[in-house]
Amino acid sequence: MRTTALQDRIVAVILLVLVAGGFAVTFDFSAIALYPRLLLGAMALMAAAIGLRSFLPARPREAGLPDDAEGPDELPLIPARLTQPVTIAAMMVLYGLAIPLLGYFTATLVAVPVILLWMGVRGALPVLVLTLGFAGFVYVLFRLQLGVPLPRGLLL
Amino acid sequence: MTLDLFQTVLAGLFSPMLLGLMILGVAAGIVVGALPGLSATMALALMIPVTYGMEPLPGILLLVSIYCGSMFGGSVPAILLHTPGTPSAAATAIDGYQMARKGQGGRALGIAALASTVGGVFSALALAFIAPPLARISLLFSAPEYFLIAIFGLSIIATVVSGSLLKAMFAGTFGLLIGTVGIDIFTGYPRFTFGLSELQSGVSLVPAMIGLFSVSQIMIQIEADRAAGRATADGPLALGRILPSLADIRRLWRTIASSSVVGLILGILPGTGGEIASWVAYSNARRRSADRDSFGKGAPEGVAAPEAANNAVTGGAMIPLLTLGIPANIATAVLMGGFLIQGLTPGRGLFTEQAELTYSIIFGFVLANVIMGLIAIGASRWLALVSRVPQRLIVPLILGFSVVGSYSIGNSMFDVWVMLAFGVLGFLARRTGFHPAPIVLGMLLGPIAEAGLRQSLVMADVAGKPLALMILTRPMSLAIVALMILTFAGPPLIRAVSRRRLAQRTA
Repeated sequence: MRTTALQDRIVAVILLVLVAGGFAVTFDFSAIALYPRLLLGAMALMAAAIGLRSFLPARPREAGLPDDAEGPDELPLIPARLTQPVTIAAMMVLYGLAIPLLGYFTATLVAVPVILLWMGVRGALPVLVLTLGFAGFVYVLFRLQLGVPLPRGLLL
Repeated sequence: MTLDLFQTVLAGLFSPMLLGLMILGVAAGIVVGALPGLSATMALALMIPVTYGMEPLPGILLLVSIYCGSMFGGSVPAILLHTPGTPSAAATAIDGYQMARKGQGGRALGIAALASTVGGVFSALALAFIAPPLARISLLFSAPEYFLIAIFGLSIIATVVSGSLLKAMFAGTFGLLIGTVGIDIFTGYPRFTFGLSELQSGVSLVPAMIGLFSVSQIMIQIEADRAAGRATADGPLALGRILPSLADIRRLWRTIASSSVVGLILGILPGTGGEIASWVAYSNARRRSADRDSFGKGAPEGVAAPEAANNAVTGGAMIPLLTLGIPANIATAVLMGGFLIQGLTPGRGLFTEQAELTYSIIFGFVLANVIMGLIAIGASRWLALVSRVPQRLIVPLILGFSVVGSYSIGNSMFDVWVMLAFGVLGFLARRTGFHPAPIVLGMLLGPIAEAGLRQSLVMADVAGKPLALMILTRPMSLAIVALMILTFAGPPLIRAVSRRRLAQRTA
């Protein structure tokens, strides 16, 4: 059995539930529901096939060639493997929430050093140079050259 | 193309602003390609917001310059660190790294630069001559053909991406469904907007692409990046002479020429791309070589062949993109997003109403390849250092750029949340075996597919025929169906033949 067979079954069930939810939403579409329903129907069939396929024995791995049934980044989603991606996503969410409150540049001057330190960059000089360099680059390119009105907040 | 138009195009291209942009784009592409873990697709997705505020010509030229620069850039770490910067450079790593170990790293980089330039220029010129007559085909298209072309484009990406075909098709269909979000253009009725006014015009494509390609990649790599050492332990390798000698040029010109043709053909053929082209060219060069045993031990032909082929793919892949709106690989799918955002619709119109702009892009592509060669040879010593920059310094900058790039598309924080949502979606998709590329392509082709299907249904109704019968009685539709079959059967056939040849040789 493939290492991700159980995951495929869980994914298939989640996808079928989501497809059913999407199908329920199309009841409000009246005359223009045909196309989304066709797509949702195809997705339901494919999700079921993904789930059922996971019960079949894995094809033997050919010498020197990757098993084409598994994606290059496919791995079982165990909690230990989720800690760091969830942390970086949480930091991005906090950064996104801080931008309208503090202003783009203030939030960036806080977020970039925090992420750099979390990534393991040590020493004040590289953190300072990268943070100020990035903020300066964004200011010149987006504010001055492209005229993008970046959000202003309490401070900047 | 008239002589007057040619002169106008050249005069425009040699303006300091456009030349400067192309130099910047090529240099950025080479640097991105040279950094292991960063891809051309990621660079293109991140740069589209920058080009959004530009005129179409400088914007598109910046994107194509990045595209061709990144194809060479991948060879730098492949040769010096045995770590291909891009999947297309994997074949280069075999002999390139062996050359570097013998103290010939500079020679290998010089050969890679020369082969990449020749392959790129050849394919860009082929684009100029092949694309205009091919674009006339799009005049024969009506609603059923547009519907089939959209499905064809989707099936191509499904075959390109590695992993399960079933999951790739699911991802593509999901992308088509995302394409239905927003106000329906025929009836004005909102679909899947859940009361959010920001979704009435649909899901923003660029933030979604940035999330799916850049943010998800960071989330995938974060564990390895944090665990990696602060800097590579090895010191810089001695490069030696970089500029290819006359003896090398005399020795390699046949390999470079034949590999360029291989790359061009495989680039045009949907569903293949730089990765397959470089392996086919490598295998071809080995088969034709009088000294086959030297391959794998530092043969210059083993560097020249894949590099000429993977850069020749860039022009080849632009041919179906510009003429029929079919992206032949993942990078050109993102490039298509850049074209659509600039208001350029692939097809005959590009070569008639927008001829000056289109030919400027094509000849700009030729020029970008020449610039790439000059930068590659001139800056190889510094590129060697770039490929050693630790990811931990780059990750925060990519995340910061993803946020500001997404915001700048509509000056809206909602787009930042869309980018983050698609980043998380992309991460979950990749970890569960779904590639994000078909989702993006589904979003791009969704409106074309739906409009084509709905108009085809009306046409079938008027003709009093079932839809399938109407499609099967139209010659152009039949031709597209045949191409779809060829696309699905072609790559497995090429792989089977290569595998058989390899097995025969090793036996």
